[in-house]
Amino acid sequence: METITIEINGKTITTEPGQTILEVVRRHDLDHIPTLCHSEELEPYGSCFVCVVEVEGRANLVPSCATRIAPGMKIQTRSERVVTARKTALELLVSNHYADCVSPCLLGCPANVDAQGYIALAAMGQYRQAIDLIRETNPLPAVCGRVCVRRCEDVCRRLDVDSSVAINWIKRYLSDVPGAYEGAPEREPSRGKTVGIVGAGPSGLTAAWFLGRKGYDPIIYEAMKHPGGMLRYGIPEYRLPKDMLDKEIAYICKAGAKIETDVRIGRDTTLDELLKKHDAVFIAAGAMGSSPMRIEGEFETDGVVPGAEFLIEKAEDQSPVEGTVVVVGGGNTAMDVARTSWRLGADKVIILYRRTKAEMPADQMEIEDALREGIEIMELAAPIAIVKEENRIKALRCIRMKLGEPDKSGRRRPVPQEGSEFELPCDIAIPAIGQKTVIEDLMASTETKPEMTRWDTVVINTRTMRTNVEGLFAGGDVADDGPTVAIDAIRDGQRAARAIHAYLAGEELPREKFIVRKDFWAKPGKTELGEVPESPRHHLQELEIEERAGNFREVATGFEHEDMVHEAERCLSCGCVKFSDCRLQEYSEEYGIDVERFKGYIRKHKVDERHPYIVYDPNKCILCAKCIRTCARILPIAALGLMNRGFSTEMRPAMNDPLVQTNCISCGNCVDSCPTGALTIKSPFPGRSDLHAETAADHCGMCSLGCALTVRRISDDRYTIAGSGVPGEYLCHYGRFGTELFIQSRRLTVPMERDKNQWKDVSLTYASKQIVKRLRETIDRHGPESVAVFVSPELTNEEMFLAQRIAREGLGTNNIGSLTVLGTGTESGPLDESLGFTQSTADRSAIGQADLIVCNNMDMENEVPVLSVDVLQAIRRGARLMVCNSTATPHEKIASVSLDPMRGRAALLWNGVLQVLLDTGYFSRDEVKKLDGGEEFLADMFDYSPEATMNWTGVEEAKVRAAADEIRNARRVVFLHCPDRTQDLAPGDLRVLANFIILLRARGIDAQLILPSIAANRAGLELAGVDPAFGPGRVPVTDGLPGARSHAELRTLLREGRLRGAILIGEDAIRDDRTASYFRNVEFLAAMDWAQTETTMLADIALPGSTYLETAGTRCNFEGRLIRFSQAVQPPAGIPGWQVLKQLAGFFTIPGLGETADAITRQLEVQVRRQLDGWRPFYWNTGEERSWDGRGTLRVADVKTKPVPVQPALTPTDHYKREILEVGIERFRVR
Amino acid sequence: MSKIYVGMGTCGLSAGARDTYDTLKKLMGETPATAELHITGCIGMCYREPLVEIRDNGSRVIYGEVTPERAEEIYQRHVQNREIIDEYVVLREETAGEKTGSETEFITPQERIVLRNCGTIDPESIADYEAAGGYQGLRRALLEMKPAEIITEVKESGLRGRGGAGFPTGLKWSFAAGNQSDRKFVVCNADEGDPGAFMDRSVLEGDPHAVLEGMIICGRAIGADFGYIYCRAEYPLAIKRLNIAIASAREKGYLGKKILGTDFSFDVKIKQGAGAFVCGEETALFASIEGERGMPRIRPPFPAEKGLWQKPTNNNNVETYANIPWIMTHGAKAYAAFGTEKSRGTKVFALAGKVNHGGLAEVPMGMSIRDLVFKVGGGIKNNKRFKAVQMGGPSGGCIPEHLADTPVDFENIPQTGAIMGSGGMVVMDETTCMVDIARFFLDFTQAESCGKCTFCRVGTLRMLEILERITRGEGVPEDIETLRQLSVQIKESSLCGLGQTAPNPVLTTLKYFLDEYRAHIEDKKCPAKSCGALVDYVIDPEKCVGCTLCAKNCPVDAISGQPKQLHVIDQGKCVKCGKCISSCNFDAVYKD
Repeated sequence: METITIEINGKTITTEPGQTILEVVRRHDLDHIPTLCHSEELEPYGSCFVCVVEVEGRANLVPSCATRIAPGMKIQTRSERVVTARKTALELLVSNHYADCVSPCLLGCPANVDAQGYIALAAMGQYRQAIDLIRETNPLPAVCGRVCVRRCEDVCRRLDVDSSVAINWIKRYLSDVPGAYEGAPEREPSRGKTVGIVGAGPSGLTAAWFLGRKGYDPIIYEAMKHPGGMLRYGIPEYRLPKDMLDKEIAYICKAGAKIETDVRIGRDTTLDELLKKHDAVFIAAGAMGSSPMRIEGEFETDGVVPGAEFLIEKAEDQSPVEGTVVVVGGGNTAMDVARTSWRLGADKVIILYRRTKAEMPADQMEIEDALREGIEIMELAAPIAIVKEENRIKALRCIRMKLGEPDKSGRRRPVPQEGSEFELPCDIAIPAIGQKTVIEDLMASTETKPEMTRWDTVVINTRTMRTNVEGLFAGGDVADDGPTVAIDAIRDGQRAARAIHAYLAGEELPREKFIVRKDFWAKPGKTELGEVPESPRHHLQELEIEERAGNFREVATGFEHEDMVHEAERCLSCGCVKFSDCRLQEYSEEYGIDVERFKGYIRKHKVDERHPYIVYDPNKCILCAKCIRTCARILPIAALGLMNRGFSTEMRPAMNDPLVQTNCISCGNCVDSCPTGALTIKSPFPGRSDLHAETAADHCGMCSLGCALTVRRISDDRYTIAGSGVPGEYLCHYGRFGTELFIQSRRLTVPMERDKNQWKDVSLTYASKQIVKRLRETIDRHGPESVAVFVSPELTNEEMFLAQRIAREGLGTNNIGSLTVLGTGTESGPLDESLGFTQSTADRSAIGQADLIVCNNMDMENEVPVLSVDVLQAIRRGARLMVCNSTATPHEKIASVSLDPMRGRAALLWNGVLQVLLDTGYFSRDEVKKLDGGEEFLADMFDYSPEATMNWTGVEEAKVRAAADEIRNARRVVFLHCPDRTQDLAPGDLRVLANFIILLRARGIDAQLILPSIAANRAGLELAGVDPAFGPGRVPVTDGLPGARSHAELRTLLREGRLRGAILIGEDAIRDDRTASYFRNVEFLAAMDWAQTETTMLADIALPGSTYLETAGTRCNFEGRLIRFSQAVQPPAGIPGWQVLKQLAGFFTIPGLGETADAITRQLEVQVRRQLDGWRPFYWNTGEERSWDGRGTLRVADVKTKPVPVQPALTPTDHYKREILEVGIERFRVR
Repeated sequence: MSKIYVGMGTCGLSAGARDTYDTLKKLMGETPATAELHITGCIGMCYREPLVEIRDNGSRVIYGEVTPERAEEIYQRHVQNREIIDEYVVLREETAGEKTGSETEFITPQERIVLRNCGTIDPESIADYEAAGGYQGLRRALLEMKPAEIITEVKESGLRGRGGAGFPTGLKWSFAAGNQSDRKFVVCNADEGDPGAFMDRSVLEGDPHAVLEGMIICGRAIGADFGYIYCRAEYPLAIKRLNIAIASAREKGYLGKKILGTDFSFDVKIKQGAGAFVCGEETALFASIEGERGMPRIRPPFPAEKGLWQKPTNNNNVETYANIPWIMTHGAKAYAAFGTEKSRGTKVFALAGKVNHGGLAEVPMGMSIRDLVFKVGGGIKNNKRFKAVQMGGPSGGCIPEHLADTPVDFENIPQTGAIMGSGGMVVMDETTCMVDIARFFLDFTQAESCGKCTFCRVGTLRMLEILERITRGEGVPEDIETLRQLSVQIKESSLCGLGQTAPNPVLTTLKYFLDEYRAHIEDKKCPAKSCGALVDYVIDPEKCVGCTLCAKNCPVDAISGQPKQLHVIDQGKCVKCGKCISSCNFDAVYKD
């Protein structure tokens, strides 16, 4: 093999020529070159310029995706010039990326709790997943759900519509759901390292939670008797019940945290000792002291109690409060103090505040509640002295204030009004104007002296959380800027855990996530949200005022389910569903781009949500054109394109129509191709489809192609489908979006018994026994030839195998088959006599090699869309296409010759074309005569002149000749024929096509016949023995079982109404009058299906089946490949179809049923391998080479009988597919 | 009998040649036949249009600015009474005699090869073309030469592509000739898109057969049997005359099957472009002919290998093809005698901007910029100071006055940072702000980017934003470095010529006029006093007589002052419309 030598990053590489630089770099794993517009299955495009590399001797940087290697080339993939260029390219792209990577609520939360995420999960009913998602950033959901200051709600986009989503109350709801605290969190294996944590408040608990989960052993030292810190001692019970806090702490301890209470650092141990004992120490001691009022005597006077001390005392000892209480301050602590005093029986409670209510830092709700509880608020007044009597407070001397100029915080500064002093009589005065740290003990008797601020807080680096002492970290109220709120403490705990892990594991602190947000450019505001309908916020249920007095019962009683659903629906889902998987985000982070650098004009577009499945957000489009190019591979006329020029260039659907109005077939491959979140799928259920917990590889069972797919599973009834991720593998609209039907259909979840028009749930055992009993009774009355089993061609081989065992071994009848196949009017193995086997002679790769593709009875774009990609690709490479259909199909437009015979006359037409080829000597009569069956064949061919052919078929003579010319000029021909599409099925057509390929082969032309069927496992029916003529392994039935021996006999039985009992598996025969009439005399009918169908409703016993995503097993695709299906999700019945049938077979006392699906596969495989011999790889291919030698027997075909009637859809999926075609791509919703 | 030629190119028509023609026609209808009336193309003196030429027995007299009234006068005095009206004459040429008239200075330095027939023959008459020696080159190429010999002749002529890049034409032809294929194509790029360039239009309007002949010869040389002329739809007259030319060439057997009785067949089709600048880029042009969106494709493969419809294709522009018949007729040596060693022949320039003779001039390669501007161009309008020329349109650059002695050819011009381009030459004087010029061209390219490459699509806009900021006086010192960096990156990370050259105007102005940028950024001043936001309108107390005219004309009442007293402009109110300057009769208002 020819090779060339190049140099990449100084390394010599010898490789084959013709590759691009990118291919070589990837193949040899030399570097990670970023790409946005590149795709392995598409031609190089070269637009994004993030993949540039430097080639010695070239003035310009070159896109590595499009530049082919040349001998001696010297390439640098990561020089400074390259990195700078990539960075600039990304900066330019991001400079026009008006988007929110994540929701504002997530960014607004100090701890970055993914509110949008848990709301979506809550909307989907995934409560446990939702609360676990909260715990990924915040282990105190119940606490925060009650006391959080809700910065998330302050930035909620919904504020521009009506009011913010009740984010926090959804969180509270989740923490109240039964089971929210069951089980235990996952922990990484122990690392054998301990971390000492000072203080069991929110910061310490949070750090312990994350460290524990990382595999460390955190030990918390708590000075108080109980853990919780200010959560326990600073927040009154009526806001945060202690048992709630206990529950939360208990769950945190399951992550490995140990709490030692009543251990005070400085009294019981020292920091030095802790540092010695542990691998790292985190000080999270909190701020349990109160800030002073700075007035004379406040520390000595009886009746003056600091707020924090008051709350701590009342948390333990709820002795009554008497007289008048004046609370000084306007924060939440002041409210807590006042409302606690009120509850403890104070005669009168007054809050004294130097500004007005509007400036109060306390939560609005708290202020309102306080007022409703009868607490007075005295605005614009401040204490200046204490009036005492015998060292007991009598009154506070106060002064009136007025509001002056705004200060640094933006609030207007209170200014004392001279001469306005007055006395406010009181029995107790409680300053609640702020907290401070109490660290004298902590720092006593210790060598370790962390640097302190002048406010007595520990100096830390707020990113690394480190103090100046090695191994000593600090956070929460005790560090940096001092006391704040719980969620800030939680953030510090989270950061400390991350920093301590990095410190102990010797790792770099992870880079900060790269995020873009719309607000960087402009707040979306009302203009952008104008179309969102208003929907008022729901409020928490609360105790009545009279219910609150004298007790500490929790005031807020919670959120009802409807409230939660309502609020979840109000969420605008601002963040991007592609965030975790966005290439632009990934590279921007990797290259550390500067968003500010090119901040300028930005184009804002409306998001197009008109398509039923696909959402297009042009704001996120980076114009890589992958979608356009992918679409052009899939459709004869692409639905997507570019419009405008310059900076205004946009990807838009054709003619700038809404995508839904173009010839889009909703295959969604554009979505898979999009490197950002510009094209995404619409979530088929409320919530967000990007929150899948896991992915599973599986295959599609919508048609006989068996395309590989990925199931993104949130739960068994919440999942979406994505492509396999393998370049060049596609999905169609059925495979990607059709599974929505499985979720939304009325499913059979339990066996049912019908008594007249009453249905009742029964056990599977009962149902099975009933089927056995009733069918045996029928057989006793009418004989085994009067019962039958019908099986859908969509089922797995294993289900089919069990079904035929039930028929033959259980019922003792040979009446086994598929109504779908019977409806096509053919016999078993129609090509066996012609070719020796009835299957595709080649796999689909033959399409790519053909120079002529002939499609007979095929509506590729609508029935096997993914196969049409192969055909289109071949045409683009120069192959010609000939189509033959009485009905119109999209591919006619691009066909070289389009034949449109009258319905049922295709075989006649093909014989006419054959006759032209014989008459013009392309096929020599003498040579044909020598072939097997040649003489009879020629004898039948005498009257198919083009004129006669035109009279019979309606196809003009010229077209008949043109068709012959196409074949004459071809060297590699592939015939595609759909064996179960009844629209254009003609009697004898398959045999005529077989004659064609035998004749062409005899002439040295490479001719193949490929048979893609609509039903997923049509090929499996004969292999599994679901056929009156064949037993398992396709062995011809010769034994003496009563019943039909052929499709014709079975059809006669049905037509004549001789059927008295039947089991219908997956075939909804009752939906259509014609097929329903076959069952007119039936005495007992059992049906099994995954959906509730008319048949299961009419059946005496109905059994639950499963979809292709819900059952393990195998199917044989149209190429004869064995496709293995995994059980990606659980069926709603909890038991997959094969197990239901196995149980039923068990009650027929059939032996040796096999324990697993795999075991049954092996049983069947033994039969297949034994019986099928040389043809086996054409039916049951597990990776073998195969080739057909081209020999066969020419057979005269019966071409003139009436065509079969158009078959109604017999399976729910098939019905659904047809419905899609009929109603266009309107989203089909099952009622 | 006299022959009257009315210049009816687009330039003539827009100056009113239609009325002139109609007047003459009417007069001739009323009087006995003493003259024939013809149309012709543009002779290059667009600044004196409408032009009327009267030919008698080998003498030529060209009159300028011929309004219908003048036409009547000329008809009566010159045609009927043989009196030459000297004051209207722009050019007079006796048989083999010297040239006289006001515009001899414009014409004399020129060597007209491409424009040989422009303004002298009737472009709608194939007989006129043949009479001027047309299709003789084709005869020689077809009847006397083998294809390889044609290519050798073109190579030896030293002709280089006139589209801008200057790739040797003969070499290019040999690539396409060397690739085997069932079909090959000849493409003529007539998508002249540079603002201020109109050479190709003039040739197509004035001498369409020359282009056809060049293409047919190329088809013969490379083995192609079909050609496309990709012409912008904004050139309706060019398309009309091309269509007439194609039809008559077919009729005469120069196009179609078995041309001149040989086995060679060739035909041509016009494809109208919708006016996308990027379609002047050959791969985008091919995409557009194929019916796709006009977007460049990755090279390699190069057009000579896989061009139009993936077939070997030769693409040249109008001017290049128009040279070919002359070379075939007069021989490579005659052509190579013009110009410099590496840039042979002549080049047509479209002079525009602050120059006295705005029009088309064809000069030998190697003439200096100064000679072009001052000799051919007649110097700067209103005797202002010559500051720079912009060459090569938006892809080119600005060459400052101190480099005005640079010879214009493919070697010397690129060294200044500009490019030869297709021949647009915009002359600038002291009132032109170079930052604003850079902004102007960038505004053009950023809007004309096809939108494919990130750097070109977004980068040019970001540069434009910076330039706009600077001209508004909001620039910061870092802007210059950012502009430089982006310029370099856009140049080296764009797929096609548009992006690769778009920053040139910025780079050359940064190179030669950095001071102007600095003045805008640091001093918040526009030295050319052109950027509105950076200019104050001030009244000179010495000159103001207090006539109140400026105050009356000020739309925002920014000027105050009593009659016969000094007036003052309130800078806070002034919107810098300039009405005060134009209304002042005493030159008392000036820009500062």
